[in-house]
Amino acid sequence: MTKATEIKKPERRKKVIPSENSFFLNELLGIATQILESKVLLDLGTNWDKDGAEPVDKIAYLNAVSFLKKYAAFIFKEYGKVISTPCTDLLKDGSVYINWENSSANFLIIFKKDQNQAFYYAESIDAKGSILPFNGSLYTSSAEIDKKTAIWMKNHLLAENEAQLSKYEKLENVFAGNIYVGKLPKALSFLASSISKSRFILSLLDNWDDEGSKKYAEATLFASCKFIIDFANNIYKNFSLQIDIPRIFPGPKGSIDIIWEFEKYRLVINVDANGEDATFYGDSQDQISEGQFKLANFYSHLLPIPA
Amino acid sequence: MDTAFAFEIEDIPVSALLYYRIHKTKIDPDEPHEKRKIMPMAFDPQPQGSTQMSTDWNKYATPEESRNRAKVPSDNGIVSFLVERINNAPYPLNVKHDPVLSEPFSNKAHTIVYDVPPRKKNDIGLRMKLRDICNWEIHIGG
Repeated sequence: MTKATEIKKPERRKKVIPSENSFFLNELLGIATQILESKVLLDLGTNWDKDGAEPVDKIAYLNAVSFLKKYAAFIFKEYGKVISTPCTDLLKDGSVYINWENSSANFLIIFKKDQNQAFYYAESIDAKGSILPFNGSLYTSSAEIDKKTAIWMKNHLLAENEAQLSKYEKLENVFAGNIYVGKLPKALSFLASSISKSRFILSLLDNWDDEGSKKYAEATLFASCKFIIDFANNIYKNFSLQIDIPRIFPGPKGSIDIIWEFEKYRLVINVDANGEDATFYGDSQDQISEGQFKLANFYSHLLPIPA
Repeated sequence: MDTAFAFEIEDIPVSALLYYRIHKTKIDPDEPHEKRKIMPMAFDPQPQGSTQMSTDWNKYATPEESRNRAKVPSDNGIVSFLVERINNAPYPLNVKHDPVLSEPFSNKAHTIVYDVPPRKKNDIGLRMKLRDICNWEIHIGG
C-alpha cells in the first residue's frame, strides 16, 4: 500500500516503539506507555537529523498526544475495543505524525506546525483485495470526537497480537431471572451465575419471613445486579482484577445485601429499596472500611475491592 | 386480673445465654460454612424500624421452647448469644429482661437486646459482628 502522494516519508531520528508488554497491565496501558515514551521527541533540538531539521513544535506534539488519548479512550469506552499501539515521530519541519500499520490497513495522521487542523491519510484492503482510501482532516482544537474517523479506526486498527486483543470483544448478556441487567466480558462471566441466582428474591411475597417483611421490587434487584456488573467491569478495566463472586440476599425494608465473604476478608454492600443509595462495610483481621455512595455516580477506586 | 406484673424483672448476668430465632428464608443453603449461612438481615431489629431484637433467656427457656414460639417452628433454627459478648460488641448494645404476659402465651424468658440501630448509614457491620458471636443451638430442620 502506498501513502498519499503528497506525503514524503519522513526522516526519522528514532522510532518510538512501545515495549511488547505494554498491554499486559490493562487495556490502554500500551497507548499510555507509548505517549510517555514519545516525550523523548521534545528533547530533540535543531538539526536533530544532522540535515537541518527543526525541533518539534510543542503545540503539534500536544495535539497529537491529545488525539491519541481521546480516540483510544473513546473507542474503548464506546465499543469495548482496544486499538493497537502506533508509532509517533517527527517530520523534518517539526510537525508530528502518528502512524498505524498492519497487514490490511494503515493510518497516518499529521499534526502540522502552526495549523489547527490535522490531516489523515488512510487505506484499507477489503475482502476482494481492493484498496479503499480514507482521507480527511480533524480540527485539533475541537473536543468532539469525529465518529466517522473513530469508527474507521475501530474497524481497522485493532490490536492484532493476541495479548493485545480486547478482553471485551465477546460480551455475554446477564440476567437475573427475566430481567436483563447488563453485559459481562468473558473474563467476568463467572459472575453471571450468582447474579442469575438472585432472582429467588423476587419470589418472596409479603411476610415471607413470618416477621412482616415486604416483597422486593424488581427495580431494586436490577439496580443491585447492575451495580455488580459495573463495579466488576470497572475493577477489571482499571486494575485487571477479577472480583470474587458475591452472594446476593434480601435485606431489610426492601433493600438488597450483596456479600463477599472469605477467609481473608468480607464486604457487605447494601442497596436501598429505591436502588439509589448504597452503604458498605468491609473488614479483615485488622482492618475496617465503611461508607456510602450513590449507585448512579460511584467511584470504584474509593470502594474496597473484593478480590 | 391484670397479670402484667406477675413476673419479676430480673437482672441478667453476663454469663447468661440468649436464644434467637433464625427463619429458614434467612439462610443461604449453598454456603457450606455454618455461620456464613445466616444472612445479615437475620440480625435486623423486628419489627422493622424498631431498635430491638427479641430473644429468650436460657434461665427460663430451652432452645426447643424458644423455637416453638415461632409461627411455624420447623421453619426456624435457634442461635445463642452470650450476654457478655453482646455487651462487648463494638456497638452500645444492651439487654433487658422483658417478660410478657400479653402475648397469645406468656413468656417469662423474653429478653430484648436493645439499642440495635436501624439500618442507616454505617451500621451494616453490626449485623456481621452479631453473626460472629452467635452459635447454633438448633439448625433449621434440626
